[in-house]
Amino acid sequence: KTENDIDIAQDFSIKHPLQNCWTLWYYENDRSQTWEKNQKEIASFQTVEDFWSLYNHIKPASELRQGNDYSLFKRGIRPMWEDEANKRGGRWLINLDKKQRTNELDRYWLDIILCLIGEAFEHSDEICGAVVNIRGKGDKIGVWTSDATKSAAVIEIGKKLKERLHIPPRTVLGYQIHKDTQDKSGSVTKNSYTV
Amino acid sequence: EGQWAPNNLDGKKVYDKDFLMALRHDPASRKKPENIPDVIVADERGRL
Repeated sequence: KTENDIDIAQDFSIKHPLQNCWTLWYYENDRSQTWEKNQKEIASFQTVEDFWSLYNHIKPASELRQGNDYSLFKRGIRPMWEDEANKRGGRWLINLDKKQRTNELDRYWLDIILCLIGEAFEHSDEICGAVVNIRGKGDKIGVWTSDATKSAAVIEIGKKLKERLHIPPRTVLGYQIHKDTQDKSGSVTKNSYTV
Repeated sequence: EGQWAPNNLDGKKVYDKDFLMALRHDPASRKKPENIPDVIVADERGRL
C-alpha cells in the first residue's frame, strides 16, 4: 500500500457530523387509522453519510402513492401543528403542478433536505423541518419554521429557498401561519409573507 | 473560522450542496439502514 491509499482509507472512516439530528417520517394515508397513527417515524441520522445511506435506499417522493407524505424534522419535533415547536409557526409553501412531479419534485425535495441538514440558512435555528405531500390535485412542499412573528428570519429563509431551488423570480412563494391553515373556512389560506 | 472540522470540533457544521453531493456515493453512504418499511424501500435497479 502506498501512503496515499492509507490517507484515503482514513478519510473514509470519518463520518461528517451534522449540526442537528434529523428524523424522517412517512405518512401513509390509511383511512381506518387516525392521522397521528398514520405518521410513522422511520429513522434518525446525525451524519452526512448516514443521511445518504437512508436517502439512497428509499423511494423518491415522486414514487410515493397519492395521499402519502415524507417529513424531515429536527429530532424531537413531530411533523404536526400541535407540536410545541410548531404551534406558533408556519410554512413556506411550494405548490407544484402535475407536470412538475416528474420534472422537479424530487430535485426540489432533495435540495430542501440539503439546505436543512447543511444549515444553509442564516436563521437555521428557526427551521423545524419540511414536508412533501403527494396529492392528486397537485403536490406540495412546505418548509416549516417555529415562529411566524420573526419576520426577518422567515423572509431570509424564504429568499434563500427561492434562490437555492432556482425558482424563477416571477413565481411567488407564500408563507402561511399554521393557525390560519387550521382555522381557514375556504380552501385558500392567506399568505402572511411572500417572496 | 467557525466551520466544524476534525481540528475544530466546536465549529458550526455548515455544508454546501456541492460538498454534500460529493459524499453521496461514498462507501460509508451506501450502507442500507435496518428497519425501513418495505413500502418505502427503493427499487434496487437504477437508483444507485
